[in-house]
Amino acid sequence: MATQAEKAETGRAPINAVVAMVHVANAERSVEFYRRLGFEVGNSVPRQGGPMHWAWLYQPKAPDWKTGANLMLTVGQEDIRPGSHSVLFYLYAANLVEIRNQLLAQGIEVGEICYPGYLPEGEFRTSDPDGYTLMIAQAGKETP
Amino acid sequence: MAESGEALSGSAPLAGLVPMIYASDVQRSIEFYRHLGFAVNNKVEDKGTLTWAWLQNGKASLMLARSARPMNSGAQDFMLYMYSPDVAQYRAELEAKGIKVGPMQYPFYSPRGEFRIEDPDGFTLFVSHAD
Repeated sequence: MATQAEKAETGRAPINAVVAMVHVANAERSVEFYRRLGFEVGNSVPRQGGPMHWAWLYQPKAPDWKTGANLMLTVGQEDIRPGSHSVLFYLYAANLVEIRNQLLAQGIEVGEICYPGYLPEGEFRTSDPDGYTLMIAQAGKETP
Repeated sequence: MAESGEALSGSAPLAGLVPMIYASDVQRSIEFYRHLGFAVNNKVEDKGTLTWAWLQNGKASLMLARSARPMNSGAQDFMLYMYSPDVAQYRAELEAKGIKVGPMQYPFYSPRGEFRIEDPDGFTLFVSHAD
């Protein structure tokens, strides 16, 4: 990202983090998918027994889970409409090629690695079980 | 969050996850998110129209992308949670700036309070307390 930075406001940032909460059709199914990307369930409702209707996913290997990748899942009350989502997610990988190979080996459909001008170190596309687009990009000096 | 699990050895495969939300007017959304404390770190224009922007608020990141189709504010399939060090003060500041903020609520998972706002495209933002 950030090459054309505006002058940051002085003082403490009023927001520590932004975490997306996406509606999914089946939380267990989504958890299984996101485990393949290194996520694990940090919290859920209910915590034990019964199907989950909410879950917090985090990266257990992150030095500090609060500043790593986080995502919330909630079972939607309405039908999920793949193809008409109004959000997508950028995931910044420590090793783009390795994570793509791991996903391929697990039978996940992934796109080819592209090298657009805004991400010369590469990115590829995949989607989760509810059709949310995940763009997986190589982490670098100017990305998370 | 959370009851965290034991950290495993090795490095995390992902260093971050940043939502990129569609906006009908990126400039209009930038102005809104400025009120929330976000600054533009990077942006892309096409023939004088902003098509993409990276917003930063401390360690919190968000991308905006111009939508090629009409937005349907009643059919959003996600929401964004924002974590503030002082949720009551932040709410008061937003209200003073003329942002329409919801009442403070105290659900079990957010005992020090959270409130709701909507961005210009109708996306739901919840502001809760950090820690």
